[in-house]
Amino acid sequence: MPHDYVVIGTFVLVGIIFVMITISTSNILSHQKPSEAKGLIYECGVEPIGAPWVQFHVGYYVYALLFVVFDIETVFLYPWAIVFSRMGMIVLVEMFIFVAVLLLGLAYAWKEGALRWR
Amino acid sequence: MLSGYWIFAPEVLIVAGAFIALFGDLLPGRDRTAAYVGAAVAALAAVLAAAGGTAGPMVFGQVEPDEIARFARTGIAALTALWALWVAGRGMPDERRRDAVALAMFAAGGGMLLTMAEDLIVMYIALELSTMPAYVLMGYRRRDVPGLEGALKYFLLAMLTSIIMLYGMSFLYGISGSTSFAELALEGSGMLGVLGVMLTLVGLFAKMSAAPFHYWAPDAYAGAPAVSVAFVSTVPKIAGIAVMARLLHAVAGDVGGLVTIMAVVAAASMLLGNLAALPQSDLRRLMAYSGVAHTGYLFMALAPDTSAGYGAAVFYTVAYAVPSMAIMLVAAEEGSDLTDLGKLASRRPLAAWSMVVWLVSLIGIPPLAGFFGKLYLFGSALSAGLVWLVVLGVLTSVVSAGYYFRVVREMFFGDEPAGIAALEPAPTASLALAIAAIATVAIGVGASPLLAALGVALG
Repeated sequence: MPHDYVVIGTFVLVGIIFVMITISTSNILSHQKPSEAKGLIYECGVEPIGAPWVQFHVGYYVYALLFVVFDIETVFLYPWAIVFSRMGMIVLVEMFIFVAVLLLGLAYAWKEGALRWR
Repeated sequence: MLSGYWIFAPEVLIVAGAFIALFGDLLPGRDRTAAYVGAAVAALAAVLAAAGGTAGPMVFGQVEPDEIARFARTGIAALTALWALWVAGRGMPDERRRDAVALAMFAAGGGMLLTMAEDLIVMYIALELSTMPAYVLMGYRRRDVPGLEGALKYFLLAMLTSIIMLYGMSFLYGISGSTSFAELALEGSGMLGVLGVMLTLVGLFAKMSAAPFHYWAPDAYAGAPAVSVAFVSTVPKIAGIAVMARLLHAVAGDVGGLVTIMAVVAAASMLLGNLAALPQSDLRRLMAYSGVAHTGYLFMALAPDTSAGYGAAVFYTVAYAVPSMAIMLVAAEEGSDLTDLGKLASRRPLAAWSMVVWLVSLIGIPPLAGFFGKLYLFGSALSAGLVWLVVLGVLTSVVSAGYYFRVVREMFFGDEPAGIAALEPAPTASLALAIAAIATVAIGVGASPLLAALGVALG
């Protein structure tokens, strides 16, 4: 048993040393010519507008929440799409129930005005 | 293939009812109708759960609707119906009955699934489904800052214990290679197995406010509306005890020392809960500590791994939940400070006498539900040789009479609170309270057939 932990320990140690060596080598070997453009925050290649430490509107929270709901839905839909032809009718019905529950949740959020920007 | 699935009709019904309540403002009569629909659907679910019978392991062995689950599911659905009926009559603090009823029904659906869970993943998801709506209910007054603080505290601590629990579950899965309770093979796993079981149990201890993990309950309850406390402090507890019985039964044979751990937690909960309740002047805090104490009594029966003990514990959660919910509902009507109940007996004699019935049942005086519940709890601990625990349980029960009778004294001999407006009559709320009073007596009278069905016999 302790033998296994030696393997894991060695693996962790090698990992740390490897990262340290690669980062320090690139620091030693590379040219260091900083400019203002290079020091900018990377925002998908667009020049950033304003400071990055702005407060975001709390209204985004609802959108994030709704996004997570549908994100989870896709996570479930992918494995389901692979196996459902083998599993038969019941699995199809189950997925429709699942999606219907999520749609009801969206309908509720819509009805309560969560999608209206305030 | 689908025929066996009828046994899940109560859960499907209660979740469908929750969706109907959620869109209740589209119904004629709006909010109030939504609450009535919720109460009716939950009542129907209770009847179906009772009539649905039992079955062996189902859905790849992930759930097992056995006798304990049947009793607990019936109790959860019935209490949810009772609560929704009261809400239909009196309403919520922010006058949004429909959301509250929908949340309660989602929580009930999760709780009912939890009582059947035979798998770590099902257990975790059901547990979250039954507690998530509770966070919203606890912070139902959206403009009340101290209330929101209590709700946030409750949410963060519950999330923390959920994470601890998941960590423990990962150990259990790592050891046995399966998430199924039936396949949790922990023999010879040594300290790692004990650690996994303990971390998993800590999550459940905290959710049921057992002694070293109870500190969130009084603050959270004291900040929340009493009507939310009525639901949150009772219904999830039934589901929690049922699933704990399942989990303990699955691991107790393989992991040594669980009896001692459960007995120590039980003793600490009984002592701390009952002693800390004595000086409380807010009914919500008092009932929070009373809840801690009652978790102790319940753990006493769970400690020895016997089916009689598990049956007795699940019976007692329902016998505890009915009066406890009813007392909080009266507090929601009258105000939750003890002095608000002053001279209740002259203002509302029926309510005052019902309160006496509930309080006496919580102390455990025959012939009420609480007496038989406690009798069998103590009996199952005695038959396992935990004499010291039973002595402690009886002694702390005597102590508990002190603070319960303080409420009674206030109702009959206290001073009338100044400047109170007469309560508007709400027939459905009164009906809900009347049902709770009758149920407290009826569960006591019908205790022996119910307990026999749960496999409990006084040895």
